[in-house]
Amino acid sequence: MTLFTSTISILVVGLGIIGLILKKNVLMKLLSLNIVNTSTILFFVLIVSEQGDRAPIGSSGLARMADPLPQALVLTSIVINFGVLALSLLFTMVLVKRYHTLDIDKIETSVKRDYKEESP
Amino acid sequence: MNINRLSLKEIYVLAIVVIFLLLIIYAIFSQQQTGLQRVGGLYLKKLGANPNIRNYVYGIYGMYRFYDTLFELLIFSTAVLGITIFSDLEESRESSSSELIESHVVDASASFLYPIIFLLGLYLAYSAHLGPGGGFAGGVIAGTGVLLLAIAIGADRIGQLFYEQFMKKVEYLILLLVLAIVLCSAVLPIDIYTGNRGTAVIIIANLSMGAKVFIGSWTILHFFVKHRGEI
Repeated sequence: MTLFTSTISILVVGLGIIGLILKKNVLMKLLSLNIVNTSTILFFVLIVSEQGDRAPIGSSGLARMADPLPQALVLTSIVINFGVLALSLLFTMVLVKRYHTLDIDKIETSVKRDYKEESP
Repeated sequence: MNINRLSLKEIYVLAIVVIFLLLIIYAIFSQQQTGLQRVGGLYLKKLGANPNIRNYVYGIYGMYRFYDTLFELLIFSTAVLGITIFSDLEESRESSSSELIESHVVDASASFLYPIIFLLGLYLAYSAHLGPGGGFAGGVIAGTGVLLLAIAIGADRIGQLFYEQFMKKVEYLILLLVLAIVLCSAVLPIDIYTGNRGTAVIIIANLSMGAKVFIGSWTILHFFVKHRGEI
């Protein structure tokens, strides 16, 4: 892994986390979560491949082949990302239908108010 | 995003994130100097002499196929189940009708591209042990192909044609089939890396996994298309 590519993937993770914390829009938060997930996969794929390495596919010998183990480990993460994103979007739809806003602060305030009204 | 309005808690979290990232960068720099060890070398040696597997990533997770497929399907099916339940609840409350955008270009290109995309998905699921691809990737690609068809002839019509008539009935049957295959390959003395029986197990497991993901991804895409109102 070159320093340039590793630094890029870590910076993208950082950007995603910053978006996750600072953005008030729920959809933007989900998008940031997706960026974090994708760049983590990128990091794992890059971490064990060096310049000039081949993809771990084919029958032309094992020399100069990228390490396949981290790639095999992050495969499941792609499925989890898909499932989490689909369910999160569904819950976002439920929230928007109920509170008519995507602003997380307004949703939090409304949920707290509803909870106070419901509890004796 | 207004920097002046950041609360103390957010500033703390940001500082922790920055320090954490700096630590990772430092770890990589120090590893770069000492030289990185290849952790998958043993797997490569084991798989290198095998004629059945040419995709080494598939070869590694084929060793743990049962656990991988079990939990992957569990997560994916939970997501699909959540969406199906919510979709049924919403349908009982209101009936939404999606408007169809009529365009000859979309119609012609969808009818031309849909079989190719579907075939590509099938090929990727079928040949996952020899090249790039896999059951999940193949299933998602085939599901996206059906979405293209939904753009051309309408999501509701496709839903009635494919999902209500056929897919809904076989969805759980395929789930059971996948689990039975991977359980058999884990319990019975079938080595997936040698012989024709092993290759057959790999191909059937990948194709059934692809079929499950195809139906699941179509269910998810159909739900979002339907509740958006139009595509």
